[in-house]
Amino acid sequence: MKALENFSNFFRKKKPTNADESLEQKAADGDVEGESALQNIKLKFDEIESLKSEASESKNKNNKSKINRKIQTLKNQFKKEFKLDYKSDFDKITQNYFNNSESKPDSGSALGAASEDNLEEPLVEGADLNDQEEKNEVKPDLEPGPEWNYRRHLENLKIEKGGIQKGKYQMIENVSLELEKELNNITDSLVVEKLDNNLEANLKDLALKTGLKEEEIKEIYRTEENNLISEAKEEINKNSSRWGRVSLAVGKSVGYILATTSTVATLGLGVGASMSFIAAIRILDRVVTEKRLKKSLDAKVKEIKMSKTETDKAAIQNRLAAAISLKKKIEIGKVNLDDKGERTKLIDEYIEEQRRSGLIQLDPDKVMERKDQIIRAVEGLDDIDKSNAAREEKMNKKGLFDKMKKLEDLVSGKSTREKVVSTAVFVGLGIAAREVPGIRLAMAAYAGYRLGALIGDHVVKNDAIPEYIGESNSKNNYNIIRKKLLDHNFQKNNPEEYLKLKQRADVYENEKARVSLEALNKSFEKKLQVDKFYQKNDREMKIVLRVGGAVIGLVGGELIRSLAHHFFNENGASPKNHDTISEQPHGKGTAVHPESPADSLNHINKSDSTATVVDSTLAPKTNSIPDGSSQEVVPSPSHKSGVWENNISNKGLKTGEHDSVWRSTEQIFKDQAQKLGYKGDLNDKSALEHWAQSQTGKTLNNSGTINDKVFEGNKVILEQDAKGNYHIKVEEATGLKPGHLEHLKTSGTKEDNIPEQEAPIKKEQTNYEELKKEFIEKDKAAFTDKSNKIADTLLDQKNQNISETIKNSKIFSSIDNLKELPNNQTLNLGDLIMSKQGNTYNFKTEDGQSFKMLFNHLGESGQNDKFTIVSGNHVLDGSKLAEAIPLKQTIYDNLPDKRSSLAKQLLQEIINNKKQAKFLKEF
Amino acid sequence: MPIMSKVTAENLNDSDQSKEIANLIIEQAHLAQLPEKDRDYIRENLALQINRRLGLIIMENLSDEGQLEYSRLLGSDLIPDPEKLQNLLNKYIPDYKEKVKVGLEEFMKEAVASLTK
Repeated sequence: MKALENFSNFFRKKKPTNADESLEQKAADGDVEGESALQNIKLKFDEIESLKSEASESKNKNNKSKINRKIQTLKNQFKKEFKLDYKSDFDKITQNYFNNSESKPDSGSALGAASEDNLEEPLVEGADLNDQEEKNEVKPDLEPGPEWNYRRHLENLKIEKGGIQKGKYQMIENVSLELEKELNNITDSLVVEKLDNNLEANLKDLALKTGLKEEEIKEIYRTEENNLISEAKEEINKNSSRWGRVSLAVGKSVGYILATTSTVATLGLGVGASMSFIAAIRILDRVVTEKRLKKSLDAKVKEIKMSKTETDKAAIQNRLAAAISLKKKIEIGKVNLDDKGERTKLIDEYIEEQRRSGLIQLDPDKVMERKDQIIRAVEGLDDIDKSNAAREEKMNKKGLFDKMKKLEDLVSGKSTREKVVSTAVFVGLGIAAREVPGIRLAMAAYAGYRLGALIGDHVVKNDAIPEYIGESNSKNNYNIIRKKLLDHNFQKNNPEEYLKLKQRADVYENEKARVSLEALNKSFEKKLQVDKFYQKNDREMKIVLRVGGAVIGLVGGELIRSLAHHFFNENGASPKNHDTISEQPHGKGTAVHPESPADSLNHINKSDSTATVVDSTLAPKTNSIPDGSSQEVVPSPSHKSGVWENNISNKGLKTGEHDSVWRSTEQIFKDQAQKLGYKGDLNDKSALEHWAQSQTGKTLNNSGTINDKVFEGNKVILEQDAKGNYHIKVEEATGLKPGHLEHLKTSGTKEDNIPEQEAPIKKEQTNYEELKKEFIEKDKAAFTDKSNKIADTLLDQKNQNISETIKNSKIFSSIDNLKELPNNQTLNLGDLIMSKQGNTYNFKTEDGQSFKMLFNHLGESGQNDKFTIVSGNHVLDGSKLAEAIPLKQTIYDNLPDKRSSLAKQLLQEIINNKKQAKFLKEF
Repeated sequence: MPIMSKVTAENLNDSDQSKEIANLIIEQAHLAQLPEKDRDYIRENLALQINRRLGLIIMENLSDEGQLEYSRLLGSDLIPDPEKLQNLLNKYIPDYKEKVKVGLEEFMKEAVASLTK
């Protein structure tokens, strides 16, 4: 070991340096004391180095942090005991030891040499924490001598000039290490059931030791307490009623804002931005939430405290240290927090401090970006607060609160400042207002659709939104129901009725949204064509925002699940069912259900091919609406318990078309529409089909994986469970046994005789990480590769009129929607022209080679690329994934032979693309 | 940006629209890549500011008489009963939905601009 050799050399070899001469002399003189001291130094050195190795090998972040703290403690001891700064090079330590002995035998200071060494070894970006700690070791404040860098020098000047006590605690690690015991005591108070009697004294003590004001330390402590309360509120929130959640939402939000578990929050509070806002929402929280939930909240807080682990405690301790450090930085910098430039500098420095102390881990490449984001967030939120505050001020000047004098008493007494009160009042009003149906829907429209088009004033005109959105005239039963739902007493006294009404309101909203979605999207498509903003931005993301936004804004989870089924997961592996209806208890008027699925089957009417209601009893009672509203306005969900069936049959279908579970299910819904809850006009085929498809999507979504779904002769059985949800199962009848194909697939046998009409679609892998990995690693290459294969196979399918298929498919819009054809092309029927990034490509759709080229182009397209495909008098205008999926789906659907390798590859391709699209949507 | 998926996983009939707007502002301001805790903090802060603005929009459009009635409506709570509030809105601001739309639009533009400076 090099260090040991060097250590020995000091006693055995003669060196030309003064230090070595001195050592030699000392050794020759039998300087036992010096040798003993060096041995002790070496022992400590070995101990520290050993721990450093341990830390560098440790993969556990907490453990690493713990070891680092221990290392720092040892280093401090080292310095104190040997009057030497610690160096990872033992030669330097011994050199310093002897230099000190010679030049300053009595001073006990090695700082001069240490500082020099520090200058020789500048801080290395991304270096190990141990090394950084070593290099950035802070000297006691106001200490003279050369500094390790200019910044520290300036800080020391400020400390001196400002007479700042305990300036060294601007460094997080100094707080962590030197005040470990104090922080520990305070942390303990936060995680024990009962308050520590010594808490007050401990806080005072910490204030004294840090040189901060007692109130500042208490504020830091309270912030941590708020974290616990926030956590408790979140827990309670999970089991609360909607109105309960509304009031709890205040507390939850306040908790987030007062908490310091994030850098933005720490800075937001630390630099004092938005303080009147914070004070106001505290009041709101106290008045609204805690008053209502005091008991349950206290109990939950206790429970959470007791569940805290050592890791949690370490995290709390780190946050306390960071908060103290920030306060000291502000004190030292004498930062004018109203000056944005000053504040930004402070924030920048603080993030750097946190990063250096290991409290936040940042990829070196992302440091600048992250700092920018945090600074923008802190400053931006402050600006937003100021903007609202300015409007409040105007209202205050108009004497608004003269009218509301009693609020002073309500919130906290006469001492409350007017503007704090006013903020609380406005927030409270806003919270109530968003529960008003008209406002709720207006907000919903913004939350979804309109925000997607926000920047650059690209807002869709109001006429794009169907008139019923936001409508709440007195004749509308929907709003009567909504009003009922908003009545606390009604909810409390009539829980069953409440749930029924809620269910009806949800269904209504979903139905309306379904109709409106199409109109919204159509309008949006028009906008896309003329809107430069979208053209130069990530178009696909906007489409995701548009569709997702409209859905989010206007409807509930039902439609989303239905859409998810259509777009991403044909096999029912879409998002979990969170349907509130499924949680509905059953009281009066609830259906009597068969005891088990087997019992259900006993009721099946055996008549072939025609869906037949076996049990359609017990429709929901409508007198739950006191005003006598009819069911015609609000479609009532079907509470009928029953079983319906439809045999899979290709009879009557065109060549190339095949029956499937989807088709059979849809057929049942169409045939039994009224009995299954359809309230629209049966003569409106389009609306009926839409409804049936939506119901089918939901039903399959509820039905888990259906294996080998399409054997002709098998039976699709639709059942309604006790909660009113529909499920599908496939029973063996005259067809092959369901699951047969799966068996053959796993055994690797290929049997051409099997009448396979649709390759089995396995349940999609929904593991997010895997999807992400797959997408990032394989996307482009995989897409191109598979597209090639598909195109190759297409070459073998020349006899199919794919051109006609695509041209007629629904994925193509009318040519009227495209204002300008690419490069003013004149089109012939069957021509297929693709325009991408200003270039135009011509394809012959009858030619498989053209398809190969087309798919290659699609595969090579980036997410931002826009392309236009024109075929005859139809156009497909879109981007890769968004439009490639339906394109392929259409081709697949129209292939006469689903057993072909083309069909299988296409299917796989579609599934992969859907995964990618899903990933993109979530990304 | 797992914001969308998070939203779709909830029952949206129970969702808080102000938080959904906040989420989208975060996306538009390119802050979605921040760590979850930071994002949560920004979202909650924005959501309350949205509610605050909503309250301001309503109050600014209430006549003196309406404001007086609102103060009576508050009773002993800072959050009024939504049903009573709707009645008040119908009476004093018949086109309140349009007012809210315009006001929120202004807020969102402001917010995105503030967070992208």
